Amino acid sequence: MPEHRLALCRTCYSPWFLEHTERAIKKFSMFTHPERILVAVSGGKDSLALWHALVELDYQADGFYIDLGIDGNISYSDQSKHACVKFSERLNRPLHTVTVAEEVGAAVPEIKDLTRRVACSGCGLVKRYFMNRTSLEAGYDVIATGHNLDDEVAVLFGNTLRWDQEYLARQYPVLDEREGLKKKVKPFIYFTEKQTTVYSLVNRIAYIREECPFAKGATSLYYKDIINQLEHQMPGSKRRFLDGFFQVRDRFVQSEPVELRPCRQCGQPTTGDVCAYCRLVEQVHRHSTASVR
Amino acid sequence: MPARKLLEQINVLAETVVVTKNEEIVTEDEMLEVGDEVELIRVISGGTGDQERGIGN
Repeated sequence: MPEHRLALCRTCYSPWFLEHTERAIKKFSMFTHPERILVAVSGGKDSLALWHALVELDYQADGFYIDLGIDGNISYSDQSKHACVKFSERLNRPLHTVTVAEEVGAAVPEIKDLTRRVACSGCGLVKRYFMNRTSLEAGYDVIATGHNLDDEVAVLFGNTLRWDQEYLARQYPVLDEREGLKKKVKPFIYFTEKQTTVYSLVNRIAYIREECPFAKGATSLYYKDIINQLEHQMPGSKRRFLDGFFQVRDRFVQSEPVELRPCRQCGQPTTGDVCAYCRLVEQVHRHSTASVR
Repeated sequence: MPARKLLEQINVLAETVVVTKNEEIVTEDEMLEVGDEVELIRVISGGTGDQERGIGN
């Protein structure tokens, strides 16, 4: 790990990783041991490693899986669901599941076709909605996601390229609870993807190595490539970029936060009258009916 | 040759893979010999659909 000027053996790696997970949790006041944590898992290395690490650290961490209904000729969602179910059994912790096709009336690939939205846009919307709804319904205190340093730096890079002040204001490892929105945290904020992969391999976590078929050609992958070239030449650049941003982030936060109110249809928080999720469901139903005629 | 040299030769950044030799994770300084079974495990994943894009739903 050139950025830490550190090389660790197999035995020392997990204790080092767990200690740094705990440090991030405490540094950003993410949660405490009495609180119940809902870990959003996809079957990939980061989210399963996060669930494993939190259980190792004796947190009350349960899993939450969203079946997106993506096949991509690799049975992507079937594989990812299988990985999450098996891992839940291994950890002996509950796994909550939601199936997008049952809730919305169409799976993510159909939502993409019916609404002409980019797949990641509809997918992100339903994920955020179900994470919040499930955490409220099942009585969790906080939602934890497996976003890592590379994810965060790539998003920051994109937001900075566009100087998107609203997104910059929202980018932080902790988003506090407010008006029907559960607290959300990212305990792996300071781990690179390589570090979460090594943790997964060392702990024999059976994650799916296949990439989401819709991620092919994603802008974030292009940003990650550029950032890794920078990191290769100047170790520590990712961390400096992100920490430097945290020091100036307040400048992007509006003094008057946008008001949230319950959606007229589902009761989940929204800035408008009807939330984006309910509008998406309506759109899907309208287009499905039209295509049947 | 060291694993680092192999990665340079095939134009792969060390930040983007985990190197295993005979099914054991090794650092980029590890010497690779003829007959070693070497695997490069990709670490980069894409798609940021569940990143925060706005407030509320």
